[in-house]
Parts: sequence; C-alpha cells; structure tokens
Amino acid sequence: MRFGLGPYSLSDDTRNSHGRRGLYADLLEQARLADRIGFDSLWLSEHHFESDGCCPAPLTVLAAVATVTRFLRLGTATVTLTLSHPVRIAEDAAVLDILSDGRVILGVGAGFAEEEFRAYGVDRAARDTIFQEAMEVIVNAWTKTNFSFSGRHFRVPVHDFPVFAVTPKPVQAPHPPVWVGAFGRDTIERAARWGFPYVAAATETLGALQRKAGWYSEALAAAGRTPLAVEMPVIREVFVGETEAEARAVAAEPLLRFYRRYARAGVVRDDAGRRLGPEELTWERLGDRFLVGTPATCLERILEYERAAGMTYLLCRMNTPGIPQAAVLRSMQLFMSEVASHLAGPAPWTPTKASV
Amino acid sequence: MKFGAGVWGMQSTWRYPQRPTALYREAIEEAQLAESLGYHSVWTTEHHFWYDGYCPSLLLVSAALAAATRTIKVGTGSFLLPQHNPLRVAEEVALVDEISNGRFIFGVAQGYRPEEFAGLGQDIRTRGKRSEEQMRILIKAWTEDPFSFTGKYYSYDRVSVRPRPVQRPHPEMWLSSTAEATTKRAARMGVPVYLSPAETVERVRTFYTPLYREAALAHGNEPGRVYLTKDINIARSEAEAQREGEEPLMKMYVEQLGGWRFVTDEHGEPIEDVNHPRYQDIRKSFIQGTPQRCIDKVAAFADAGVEYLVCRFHAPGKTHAYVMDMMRLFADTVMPHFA
Repeated sequence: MRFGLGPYSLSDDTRNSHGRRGLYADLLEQARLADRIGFDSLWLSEHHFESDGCCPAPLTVLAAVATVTRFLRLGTATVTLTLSHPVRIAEDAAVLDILSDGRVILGVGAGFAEEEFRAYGVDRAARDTIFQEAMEVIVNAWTKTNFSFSGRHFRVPVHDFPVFAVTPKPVQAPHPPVWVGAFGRDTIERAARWGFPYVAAATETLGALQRKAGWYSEALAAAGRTPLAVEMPVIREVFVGETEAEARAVAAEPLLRFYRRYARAGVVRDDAGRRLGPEELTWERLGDRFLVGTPATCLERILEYERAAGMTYLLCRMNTPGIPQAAVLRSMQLFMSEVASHLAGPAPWTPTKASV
Repeated sequence: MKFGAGVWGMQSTWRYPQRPTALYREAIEEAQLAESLGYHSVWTTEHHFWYDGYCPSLLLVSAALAAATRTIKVGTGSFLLPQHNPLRVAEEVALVDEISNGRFIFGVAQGYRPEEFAGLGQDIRTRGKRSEEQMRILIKAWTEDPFSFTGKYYSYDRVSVRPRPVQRPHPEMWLSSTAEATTKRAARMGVPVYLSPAETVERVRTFYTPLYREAALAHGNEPGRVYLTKDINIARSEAEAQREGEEPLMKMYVEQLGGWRFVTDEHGEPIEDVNHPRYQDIRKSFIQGTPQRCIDKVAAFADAGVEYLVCRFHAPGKTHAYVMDMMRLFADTVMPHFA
C-alpha cells in the first residue's frame, strides 16, 4: 500500500490572512512535509474559470512543487486531455519529468464541465474520441523518435516533414506512468485495455468503487493482463486526529460544506447511483465515505477498502478548505506515523508499457 | 540600465551532450546565483521539436524558477505566442504570476520554424495577425472579468480567467522585434520592444530607438523602453573569453543557423565552416572580452538608447562553472558602472 496526498485544486480559502498567495505557501509546506515523512506522491487537479478551487495548469504548479521536494512523485488527477493540444501536454509532462528527475505520474481525463468545453470551443459530444486520440498522440510523442499521427481530431504534424519528433523525451522509460480518471464503464474498460490504472472520482461510494473495480478487473483479464500487476488507486477525504471527537470537530463542517458544493454540481450519488441534493447531505449519510477519526479508525477503513475494492494506493485529501494549515500538517504526520506504518510494504508494480 | 541573466534553452547538443536533468538543475542554480548577485531578472527561451531537447514549456519552467527564488523577476524570452492557445496562455500566465507573487515578465515573439507551427496544429501564415489578436485577448482576459472578444481568429463569450494575475493592470509584457512593424506595435501598445542578439549599436541608435520613441510618443506611451539581449563572453583575459565562450557559442550558432537553414551556401546547404564570412557578423555581435571591453560595449548600447540588457551567459557548451564565474565577474565589474 502506498499513500499520496491530494488531488488538490487551489481552493480559495479564508483560513489564512495572506489571501490566495497563502495557498502556494501552504501547498509547498505540505509538499515539503510529505516528502520528508514518506508520502509517495502529491496530486493536483485541473479546473478552469472557477472562483473557488481553480487550477488551470496542474503540471505548471507541480513544477513549483518539484523544486522544493526530492522524492515525492508528482501526479495529476487529472489533466483534461480534451482542452489542450496533446503535443503540448506531452511536452509539459516530459519537461516536468526532467525537472523532477523522473517523478511524474500523468493522470488523464476526458473533461466534464460544460463551461470548459464552451470556452475552449471544443465539442463536448466528441470528447470520448478526442480523449482516445490525444492519449495515442501523447504516448507516441513521448516514445517515438519519428512519428506522425492522423486522426479525426488531430493531425500531427499538420504538414509532412522528413523527420518529426517531439522533444525533450521524459526521463522515465518507456514513459511516465499514466492513470486514467474514469467514471463510466467504457472509459474504465478502455483504461484496462491500455494497461493503465484507473482512478475513480473522489465522490464515489465504497459500493460503487467495488462494482467498478469488478468491471476493471474483468476487462483487464479479458485483455490478458494480470490484475495484481496494476495499481488500484482510490481517492478519499482523510483526516486523522488524536480522538474521534477531535477529528470530527475539525473536519466535519468543512467536509460537509465541500460536499454540498459538489452536490450542487450534481456529482454526489448514493450507493444505488441516485443523485443527492445538497440538503440531503448530513454527516450520518456521508461519514462512511470519509476516513475521518483516530488512527485506529482510519486503519480499519483502509483495510475495508483494500478488501472490498482491491485498493492498493490511497490518495488522501486532507487539505479541505476550512481546515487550518496546522491541523492539516498534524493530520499528515499522524497518518504516516500511526496509520501508514501498519501498512508498510511495496505497492504493486505499475506497468507503464502502453498498448495505446 | 537594468540587467537580466540567462538565457536557458536547456539544450543537449551532439557536440556538448548533457543529461537533461543536470541542465535544468544547473539553470535553477544559476538563477539563484543571479538573484544573490543583484540581477533584475532571469530568462528562458522556447523552441519545439529540435533534436537537442530545446525547452518547449517556458511557463512550466518559469513556475519552477519562481519557486526556487524569492525576489528576482522571472521572464520568458521569448514565448512563441502564435504557436499556443490564447485562452490557455491567459490562464497559465496568471497562474505563474500568482506562483511568483507578481514577479513574472511575459516576453513574447512570433516564432518562425514551420515544423513548430505544424506540430502544434497552428497556421504559420497567419502568425502575425493572430499574435496581434492574441495580445489583445490576453490583456482583456487579465483586466476584464468576465471578458468577451470577437475576432477574426478567436472569439470568447463571457469567460472568467482564474486565478487573476497579481500584477495590475496585468503581467508585464515585452514584445520581441526584428522589424519596423513589430517595433511600432510594441510602442503603440506601450510595452517594451525586445531586440535580438544580432543587433548592432549603430542599428539600435539610428533605427530602433528613434522609431520606438516616435511611435510611443504618438500614442502617449513611455518613449524609451528599448530592451536588448546579447551573448556575453566575459573573462579576465581575451584568450579565456575566446576559449570558454566564443568557441562553443560559434559552434552553437553554426549548428543552429545551418540546421534551421538560415545561413546557407549557394546550393541551399548549411555552411559548416565557423570561419566563413557569413558568420563574421555573429562573432562581432557578442559582448566579449575583459571587463573593460565589456563595459565599453555596454556603454555604447546604453548611449544608443538601450535601457535593459538581458545577458546571455548560458549557451550549449559553456560550462556551468564558467557561466557562474561570468555572472559573478559581470556583476562585480560591469554592472556597478550602470547603477
């Protein structure tokens, strides 16, 4: 089992007095601590045009994180492949891989928010095929010393050249690991065919994770791949305190507020897949999808996710807006010393060899 | 006069191969040294799809340089604007401005290599017109919230760029120019004109400075913002400057200008002889030699109207040790004369 921190967006927050500038100071402080106490990775997400939680270029922010850390892997969950030219994404990820000496994990998604497609002038209805083509372009751009691509949405390069190669190449061979952010069965199965780990949305219930892990494993087996060789990441809200009461006192209100915003966007569902409205969200109803409490409680919940959903890699979101920085840092420390220490052992090897 | 330092393209050439990770690490060390020596800014340079790994991701690298420094400005010299999506650029520049807490300088140019436009799905023929439209979009996106724009190439309807840039009214911009039209455009927009390393004292004094001045005054803008970048080979002796600086630099120019077919013989083939007359102007364009010679050359450009000099200390083949040494020597001996 390995543990990552995030995925975070750069949420506006009133908890510090330096305004938005404090976000980076806090993020870099968390990154330094995570690097020192043994978190495996730090993750950022991509969001556009939002007054809250906005990070339009996660790879660029991770470049700042790279300079203040040595071991931490740098992940995106996820970069939206449909909004930028895939060659630009391949270039940025390769440069970050060099800057960080091979620490990049590129999580990719097809995009969701209609507002983003509208502003970028991209046909949302075509996002699935754009996503598939973009993935193919990126893997080829990273690995080929001469390549061209001609699809429905992209032609690279637009005119023919005797030799065309995207440079520089990433440090990791054959290329940085790719994780596929997925919600629907098609994308989950595609991730399995590609041989890339699939990462579910933070808002999925344990029941949904279990069901979808089943789809993924079946598709892996059908593609002739060994399920045990592929990472099975899960994103959860995590907060560790000395006592249940303390953990809940710090984290419950900020988490509920955060999830009510998700619910307004229509992405919070119950186990049966029914959408939950913001007024339906109570701690009793949501609490079982959060890992909040004493170290013993969190440990127990992690083992449950491991058993039920085959989780091998936990992405811990501890930086919920409204939780003070000192409490986040304390929770990170408690998590590594009192929870993760009981779950030592290498995670499965993550194959990076693509068959895109 | 203000001084910048750089200019990192992160190239690992066949003559001077280097591990890419080392190139980026050394650039960060050099930027940190520049900050401690009192340079005003540090700079990166962009190209795409060249075999030596020339850096394609200046905004990402600027974020790294900003995180590794505290006070020095971080600039792109130059970002090839019409090869990119302007909305994406508006967002990412704002982000870098935020990460650097308002220390970002967005220097832009048009670019010229057909491969780069073709590889990024952009039309090279419309680059001039598009880049003009893009600059208008950027300024709107940074100063109006939400912004709308209807142009020939790009249109946006009520888009709110987040985060908002730190600098007001918007991040500082420089416009690269090698021609009359772009120089006038910079003056008209009220942004500095950024001249290339090939320019001579004579050309700056008689052409760019008066041209920019006149156009800027006509639009009520500051008339003196003529900025320049130059290759620097400073050393304690002429011989050292030649050996450590000029020699690798000439090889770089011959390879690049030949490889990109800018300097060709009568058959259209690259000229590989470093001593060919076609390369003599380039050799003469360097600010090179002992501190006194460098002071004289910089003073001549200052007299010609240059207010800001971005020193190209780094180039493929100049060792990290020599670059660090040059940066110290230049800061100790040349910069005090222009304080």
